[in-house]
Order: sequence, then C-alpha cells, then structure tokens
Amino acid sequence: MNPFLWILGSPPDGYKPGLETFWPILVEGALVSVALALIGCWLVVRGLSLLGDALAHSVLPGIVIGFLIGKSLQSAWILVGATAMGMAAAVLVQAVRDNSRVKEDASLGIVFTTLFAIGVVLINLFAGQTDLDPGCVLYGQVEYFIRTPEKIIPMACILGGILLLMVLFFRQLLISTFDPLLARSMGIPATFIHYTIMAVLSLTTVASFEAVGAILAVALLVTPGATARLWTDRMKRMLLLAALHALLATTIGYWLSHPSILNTSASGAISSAGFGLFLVSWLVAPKRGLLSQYRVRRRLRRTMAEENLVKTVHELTSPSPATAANPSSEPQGTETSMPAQVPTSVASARVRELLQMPSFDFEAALRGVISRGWARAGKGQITLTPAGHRRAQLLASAHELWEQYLRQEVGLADDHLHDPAEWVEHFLDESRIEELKASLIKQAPG
Amino acid sequence: MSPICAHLCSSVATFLRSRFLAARFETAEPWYSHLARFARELVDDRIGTTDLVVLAAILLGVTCGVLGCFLILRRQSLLGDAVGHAVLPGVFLGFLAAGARSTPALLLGALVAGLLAAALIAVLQRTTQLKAGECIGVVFTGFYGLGILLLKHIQNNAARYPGQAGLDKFLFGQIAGISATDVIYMAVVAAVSLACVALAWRSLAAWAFDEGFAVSIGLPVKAIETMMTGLVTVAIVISIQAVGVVLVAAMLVTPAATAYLLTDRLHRMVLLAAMFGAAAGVIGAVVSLLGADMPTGSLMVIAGGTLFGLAFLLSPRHGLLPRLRRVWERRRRTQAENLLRMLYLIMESRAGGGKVPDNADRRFGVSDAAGARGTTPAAVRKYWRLAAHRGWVDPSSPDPMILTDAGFAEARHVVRTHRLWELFLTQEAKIASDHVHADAEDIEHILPRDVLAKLEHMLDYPTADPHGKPIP
Repeated sequence: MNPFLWILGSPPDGYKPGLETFWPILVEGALVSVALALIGCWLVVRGLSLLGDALAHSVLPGIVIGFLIGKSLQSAWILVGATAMGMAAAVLVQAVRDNSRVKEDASLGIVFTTLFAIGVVLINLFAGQTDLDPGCVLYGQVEYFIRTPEKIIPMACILGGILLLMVLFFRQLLISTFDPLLARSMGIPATFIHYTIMAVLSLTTVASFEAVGAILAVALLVTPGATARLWTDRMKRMLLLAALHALLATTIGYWLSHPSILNTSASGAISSAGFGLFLVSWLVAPKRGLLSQYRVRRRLRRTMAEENLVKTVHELTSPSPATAANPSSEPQGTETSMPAQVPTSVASARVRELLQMPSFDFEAALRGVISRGWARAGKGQITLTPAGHRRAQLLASAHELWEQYLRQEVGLADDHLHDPAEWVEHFLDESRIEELKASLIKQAPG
Repeated sequence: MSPICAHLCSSVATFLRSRFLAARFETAEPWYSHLARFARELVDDRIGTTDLVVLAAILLGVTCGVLGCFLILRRQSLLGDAVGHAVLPGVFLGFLAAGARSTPALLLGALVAGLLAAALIAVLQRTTQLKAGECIGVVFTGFYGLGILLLKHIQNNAARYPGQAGLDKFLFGQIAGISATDVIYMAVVAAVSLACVALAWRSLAAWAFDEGFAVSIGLPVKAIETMMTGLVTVAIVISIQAVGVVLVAAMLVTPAATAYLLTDRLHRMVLLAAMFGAAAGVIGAVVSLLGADMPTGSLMVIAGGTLFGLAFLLSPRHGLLPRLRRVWERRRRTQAENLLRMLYLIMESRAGGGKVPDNADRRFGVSDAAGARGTTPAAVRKYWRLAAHRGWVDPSSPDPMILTDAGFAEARHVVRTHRLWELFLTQEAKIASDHVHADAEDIEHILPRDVLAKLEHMLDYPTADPHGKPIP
C-alpha cells in the first residue's frame, strides 16, 4: 500500500480501525499535536495566532501544485510547494497590509480565503487524475496510520527538530518575542526569527495535514497555547502545559472518535476535546479562571460589606463628629472614655436602613463581623468590641488620607473625593496607611 | 441609463398594480397571503433555475458586501471568519433535532451556533487576558471541530440518520440545488438587513468610524454592536448553502475591502461593496454551473479575490501601481529640477556670486555640468532628457545645453525655495546653518507656491540665505 496515497486520498474501502490500532495512531496524533502546540505557544505570545490560521489554509494550493509537478503523492514537490506557498502567504499578507489602507485583519482574511479557494478549485479540477479529496484536506485521517507505523518517522523528526531549535535558541526567541527593542540592540535578527517560525510552521502544518487536516491544524495550534496562558505567565511552564494539553486532547479525542463510542472523525473529536479542555480551564484555572475570579470578587464584596457595617455602627456610637473626624488623635479604648449620653449599642434595623442592604446580605455581613470579633449582637442590638472600634478608626483614617492624597497629589475637586476614597479605604492596610501618611507629610510640610 | 431605469420602474409598477391591487379588492384574503402567492408565482412562473441561482448570488453578495463594510471599518474582519466557521455544528444539530434535512431547522441551528460563538468570543475577551485573536481562534476552531465531529458521526452512521446525504455540501457550498423557498428566505433577510442599515445609517457611520464619539453623543453603542453581530450572523447563515462555511467570511471581507480601496466616502463604499459582492457571487455561481459539481463558494471567493487584486494594483488613489507611478514621476521631476538648480549655480558663479541677470548666458557644456555636479556626463544627459521633456531646456541641442525661458524661471524658483527654506530653518526653527542643506534639498521639490509666498512674507522678504548667498 502506498502510504502517501493517504495524505489527501480517500481511505481504503471497508477499512475500520479496531482497538488494537490504538497505539500507533495515538503516537502519531501526539507527535502532531505536541509539535503544533509548541509552535502555537510562540504564535500566541507573539500575537500571531491568526497568522497560523491563515498559513494553514494557504498551503493547500501549494500541495496541489506540488502534486501536479511531481505527478505523485510521494513527491517531495508537495512539501516544497506547500512550504513555499505558506511563506508566500505570509509575505502577501504583509505586502497587502503595508501597501494599502486595508488593515492587517482584512488582509489576512482576503489572502488566505482566496488561496484556500484556489486550492479547493484546483483539487476539483484535477479530481479525476488524483485521489485528492477536499473533505480530507479539512479533517485529515489520523485513523489510517496503523497500516504504516513507519509513517510516524517524519513527524518524529520534525518534532525533534522543533525541540532542538527551541532548546538551542530559547533565549533569542524569548527576547525577540517579549522585548523586540532589546533584541535589536543585542543584534538578534528579529525578522529572520519571524520568517524561520513561519517556515517551521508551514512545514509542520503540511506534515500534519494527513493526520488532522487544515482547519483542525489551526485548532491544535491556537488552543493549547491559549489554554496554557490561562494557567501560567511563565514561558517554560506554558510550553509544558500546552504539550500536556495537546496530549490529553489527543487521548480523549481519539477515544471519543472510536467506532464503539461516537464513530466519528478523530481530528474533529481531538479539537473538540481540546476546546472542552480550554473551557474547563477557563472555569477552574487558578487566579484567571471564572470561578476564582468570582471567589475573589465575592470575598471582596463581603469584606466591604462587613467593614461598612463596622464603620456605620462606629459612627453611631462614637462620642462626637469632631472626634470621629480626627480618629488618629483619639486614644485607644474609646469605650471607657466615652461620655454617658452616647449609646454603646445600636438597633441592627437602624444600621441596615442606613446601609441600604438587603436583609440577607446584612445578616451575612453581621455574622462575618461577629466571627471576626469586631462586634457583639443580641436582642436586635449591635455593640462594637474595642477591636471593632479600632478597625473602624483605621478605615476612617484611610478614607481621610486618601481624600487628602487625591486633593494634594492628583488635584481632584473637593466634591470628587468621597467616592473613590469610599472604595479605596478597604484596600489600605496599616503599612500602606503609614506610607501614605509619611509621603503626604513629606510632600506638604506644615 | 436613467430613461431605461424609469421605463423599467414604471413597467414593474404597472405589473404590480394590475396583479396585486386587482386581486386584493376582488377577494377577501388578507394582503400578506397575496404577497406570498405573488412571490411564489413570480418565482415559479417567471424564473428558471439559472435565474434562481443568479438571484441568490446577487442577494447574498449584496447583503454580505454591505455588512462587510462595517466589519472592515471596525477592523473586525476576522469575526466574520470566526462566526462563519462556528455555524457548522449548529447546522448538524439542527439536522439531528429535526431528524431530516429541513432548511429552516438547519438555518435556525446555524443562527443559534453563530450567535453563541460571537457571544462566547465577547465574554472570553472580557474575562480572560487573552487577546482578541486568540479568543477568536480558540472559539472558531473549537466550534468547527465540533461540527466536523458531528458531520462524520452522522455520515459514519448513515443507517441511523436517513436523509443525511448532501449535508457535507455545507462545507464548500453548492448553489445548484437551491430552491425557490431558499431564495425567498434570502430575499427577506437581505431586505431586513439593508433596511436596518438604511434606517440606522447615521448612527452606524458614527459607530464605525469613531466609537468614542458615538458614545459621547449618546448612541446606544452596545445595542448597535449587538444588532450588527446579529445581522452578520444572519447574512452568514443565508450564505452558507451557496458559499459554504469555510469560505463565507471572504464574501463579507473581500468585496468590502475592495470598495475601501476605491473610495473615501462611506455611502459610496457601501454601494461599491454591494456591487462587488453581487459581481463575485454571480461570476462564481455561473462558472460553477458550467462545470460539473464545482464548489460554488470557492469560485465566488476567487472572483472576489481577483477583483480585490485588481483594485489593490490599479485603484487610482490607493492602488499600488498608480502610487509607484507617482513616486517615479516625482523622482524624475526631482532629477530634472536638480539639474536646473545646478545650472543656476553655474550661472551664479559666472556672474561672480551675485544676482543672476535675466539676460545671462544660458549655454552650458555637458562636461562642465557633470563636473560641477560630480556625476558622469551620461547621467547629466539623462537629466537633460527629463528636463527637455518638460520644456526646460532646448530639446534640439544636448551639448551645449540651452536653458529656455521656462527653464530659467523654474531654476530660479527651485533655488529660491531652497534658500528660503534654509533661512526659515535657521531663523524660525533655530537649527544650525550647517544642518539645513539636506532638508532644503528635499523640500525644494515639493513646497507649493502659495506656501512659499507665505514663507517669504513671514521672513520679511529676505535677500540672502544663511550662507550669505542671494535669494533670487
């Protein structure tokens, strides 16, 4: 059986992969997806993810032309044609963007759709002479690798080459990606690196065509990198995580596509699984995930509600507005020195009214305040503990200082000071307050 | 042009009145059932298959072209690409839900999937640190992969899903099988989209060019954006039968980008984009009907891409070739003007460094000129040809060169501009006098005469440049 017939050709009749075919296919799928994921990471951090998309589409006419020149699906012309066409597309996108008023996005959209359309029409025109099938261009056939396990050798070489390049030139890649100016001053050839990445990308895309097809190659290019970005900010970890994502997606996807499960295209299932992993990461990733974002926001909201409650009770139970406005001069242990006419506790209904909170939120905030030891409650009355009073004074002084800072340093008008200070007071801890105090004294002596 | 239009309009109006009004007053049926019957009869009786195909191509070309203009101006071209790919799983879910290939179910599924993908992209952009390109890339490949998964699942289990044949036509599009009902859907969608654009024209223009401005004058930007995303999705949905999901984005982007190269006015851009869209659609559709089983979408996209390529090369103002030609013209003129300036300097040195009299000797040997300029006689002869072409030197005598009256005036003008600019730079911009020559060398060829007059007035009609040479 001619292995290259399967690059774009239709599968042998009646061929159904069984479970015993699992490993070769999985290995090929893993090689392809890890290679694409590693390149994809660099594309993602360089902001070029859609250029990868464009390139993966654009190699199609190159493949067909290579086939027509070489007259055979085994011909090296296919690789040459595809890589050349990929590079041509990258240059063309640049040329259209630089030489007309059409912006980058539209220039990408026009160039790759037109090239891809040319490829599709060429396949249709020469469909009689070849086994080229436009469908396979789109979704590839990783299932047929079992027949020729030696076919995984080229892909393994490509992955090895990518790893080698990446290890050897990691520093150069990193610098030219994240600090182009520094790269230029260090004499790193940024343009050369850019086009090398494009060439490697074209080569890998072509090599992975028979396994995953054009558009699914893009899925394997962008999704692992984007998923890894949700988990980490470090490039090395990102590369590792992306490779891990690619492996997981390949395994899950291949399992899903098996005739006994969904009986469907492996590459479609692999990219669906990758997308699923992305969505899960989006939900649960630490720090960046939706859940942890929600948790942080909820904790913040609860803290603010509790602190506002303490502040309100403190204002109602403090001796006079004059001392309340100048809490830093007040001695510790307010309760003992307080004149008798000031109540030591307030009705919780009154506090809730002043805070304008729904009763459910209010109850939660009250529970929080009590558990932090800032207040005691009983018979509908709230009494602040000394710790609660200290907390309220801290908040008030933070508020005051921030207003002063905004007035002095930012130059905001007096009626614009309260709202931001109301917000910021919850974020200033004691050390920040001291810092702010010191800087304000230094800035405006006397 | 206009008499034909008027005639066409009046005949259509007469036709409508005779069929529609008569029927309306003679029977008790509600008006819309007449309209529906009229549309059906029109399609059935008067329009053959080829006409249907052409009509469909025009409808989708116009709709996509018009809506694409806003995508181009908002730099969201790739959103069209993303939504185009993302509708695929919706098509097949529609098929699975309806259990048959019913067009409304498929299109409804596509619509839902497209809107879902657009919403997901927007939410991802808001809640993650990923850039727009990555969000688009992840979502559209994910949806597309899901679509392929469903398609192959349906095809591999054909026994379980009767009526699945031809579902894969949604990948690359096939216009030949389009039915009259499909065309009526398309017409309705096209009419609604165009009406929305026409009614919200001013708001859309403000939003497309300057979102900040649109917000500041109180336009409901969010609503406009949602409406346009919805319209784009709908346009994609009606186009996928003919164009296919893989390439439908090109129908949105390419005609609009072509129009963008040809005009600076929004209404002209929209009209041109509609025309190019229709042209690409019709060319692609007709060619695909000629060959057996050719993918319509690809042909339409190639037609559109060719139109774009032509505009990119030839557009009078923004085209590559006209611009290169302008640069080339400018360079030749600069070379000729440099020759004139050099001849003037020779005349000045003959006059002893002072003002050159009008009746000075205007004959120069080529080798003298080459020596003064530090170039070869061959180069001087080339510049002489350029100057002769413009009537600045006597074309009958290459050696010695003879400056004409026009050439003398031009030479004086160039030298004057050069020296006034040097003076301006030293006096007003406070640049050292040994740094001004190179700049003046460039400006002397492009400074308009009215600016020169203003400059002279501003510098109070000087007589000498910073190097002490007289200003002619």
